[in-house]
Amino acid sequence: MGKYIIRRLLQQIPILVGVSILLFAIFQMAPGNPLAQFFNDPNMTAEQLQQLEAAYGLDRPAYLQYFDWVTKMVRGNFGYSISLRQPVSSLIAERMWTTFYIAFVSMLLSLLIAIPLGVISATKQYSIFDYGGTIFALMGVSIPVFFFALLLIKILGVDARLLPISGMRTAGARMAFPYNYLDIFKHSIMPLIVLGLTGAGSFMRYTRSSMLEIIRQDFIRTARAKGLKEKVVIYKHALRNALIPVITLLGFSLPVLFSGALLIEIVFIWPGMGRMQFQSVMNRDYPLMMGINMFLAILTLSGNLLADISYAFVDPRIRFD
Amino acid sequence: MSSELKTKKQVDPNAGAKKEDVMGPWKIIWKRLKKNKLAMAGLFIISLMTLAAILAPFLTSHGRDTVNMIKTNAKPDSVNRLGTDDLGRDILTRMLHGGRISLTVGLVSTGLRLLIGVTLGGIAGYYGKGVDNAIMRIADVFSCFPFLPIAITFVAILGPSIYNVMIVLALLGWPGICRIVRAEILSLREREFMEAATALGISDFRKIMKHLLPNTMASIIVSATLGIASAILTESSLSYLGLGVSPPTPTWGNMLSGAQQQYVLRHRWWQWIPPGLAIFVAVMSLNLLGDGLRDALDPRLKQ
Repeated sequence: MGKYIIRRLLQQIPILVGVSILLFAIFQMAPGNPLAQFFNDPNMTAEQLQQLEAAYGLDRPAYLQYFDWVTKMVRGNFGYSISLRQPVSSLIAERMWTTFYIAFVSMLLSLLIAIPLGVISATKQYSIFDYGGTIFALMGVSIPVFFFALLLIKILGVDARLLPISGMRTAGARMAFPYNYLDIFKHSIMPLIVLGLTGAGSFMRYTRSSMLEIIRQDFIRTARAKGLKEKVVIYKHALRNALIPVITLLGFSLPVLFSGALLIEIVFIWPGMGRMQFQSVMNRDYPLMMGINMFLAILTLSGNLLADISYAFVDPRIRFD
Repeated sequence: MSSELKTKKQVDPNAGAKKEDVMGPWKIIWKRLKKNKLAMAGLFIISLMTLAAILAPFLTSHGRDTVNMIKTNAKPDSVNRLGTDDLGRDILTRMLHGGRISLTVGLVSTGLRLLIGVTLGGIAGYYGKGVDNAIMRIADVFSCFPFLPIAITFVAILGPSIYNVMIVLALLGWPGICRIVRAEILSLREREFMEAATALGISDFRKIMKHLLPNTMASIIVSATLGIASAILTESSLSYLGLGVSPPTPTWGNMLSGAQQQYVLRHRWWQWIPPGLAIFVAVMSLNLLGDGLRDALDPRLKQ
């Protein structure tokens, strides 16, 4: 097992190198200059501009800039945000948790909805439940995240005034210990509903088809023949095996989660990484854009790796060589 | 010459089907699909929407970009069935035309995606070894970016335009279909009919194009249907953010941008709910169809 993990870790290195080259190449295609805002500044002399270019290393050939960037990154230096005037790594560290909170709690919510529905759909295949579940799941996959969010904002936020419609905290309010977290939770209810429900669809479909495959296998027939109760057969024998591929899906759904979180953060003005990235795009803050993309790529890779390893861990049929 | 004739026969398993009254594979699939009511509903609705988009100029008497400053933000009435926007343009007309753009972006980007994915997947699966390894590692690199974050980065650098949206969708989306095609060809390659094809001495290109790829058609069709759906969804997200197709060209996504203002969200439902529903209904019917196709093409789970 240890060997397997090490080998999988080593395999990620060339992919990471590829990712960094690709990202760097994308940014080389950019027509504008990240220092454009200074070029238009009449107070800047040509000399000062040159100094700035040298300071950011923009006057050197592309391949040297690349090596520069990579070696700095390996040391944990992701560059310096031009628009926010802070190191990118500290900006990411600061915003990361608010995004993680939304992403992981909504994923949990998705699973809580999806797994029971998937099991019922599979055990009652072609019943009304199954059709209803299928339609529900496909609706979750099909509705544009931002449209769903806007509908909720209108219904729950603007019309019924039940929930706050944007931000993470009530502006200007100073609250004591339990209330400040409650405030954050209240602000996060709508984002969590949107991401949780839209994410449940694919998990549900997956649980259903995985379950359908399992309940046709011989060991389930054996379990029934032993006279076990149907509940035990389904929830103990079948579900445990059916969840193995779902675990893998969890790791792989990380990129989908961050895509959804990006839109949600923009619509709900949630101060996470996605919103910061959108602002960096709008400001053409290239170091910040690059840093966030690189961070997300590393996160995705780790998610895939974790999925593979946990898969091997929970399923003893997988061999490690 | 003789090998040419023989390959033709192998390629077309339907040849002579009528004479012997045997159902061809596509006919069987169609028969199975017809039983799936949800999938047929999806097919019907998406066909209807496509037709409406194609016939857009004939279905309405308003101009797509005709500004009417006297009648801005008007509620739906008998002239403007879905009201007007902030420039007095007819919402229904813009939705019909927006459908053209949204559906075209979905189709073209998926076509491009398939072109890249199927070609590379075919090459990787057929040649295996080093070529396979190289292509699949590149696919790994492309698929370890979360889609929307890297897409907005791309578009921000290339500039928002309809072509860039298509290119981005294709460039970022090909690894999925590439993996599917590769895996299938990898196993098909070892089958006996390929040994026969090798014995006939036909070229690699012909083997891939005429013998291997047609056998992966089922997966490609399913992936394409679901792919169009997700492409429409992504285009709408990008356009909503102002990073996709830019106005005055309407798409369902950028028509929703107005709802970013709370006043519009609250008091002018006709400006944002109809286009939102249009995206939802189009994507939903494509997903229903794709789901039904998958069941019809893979009868393993139907017992």
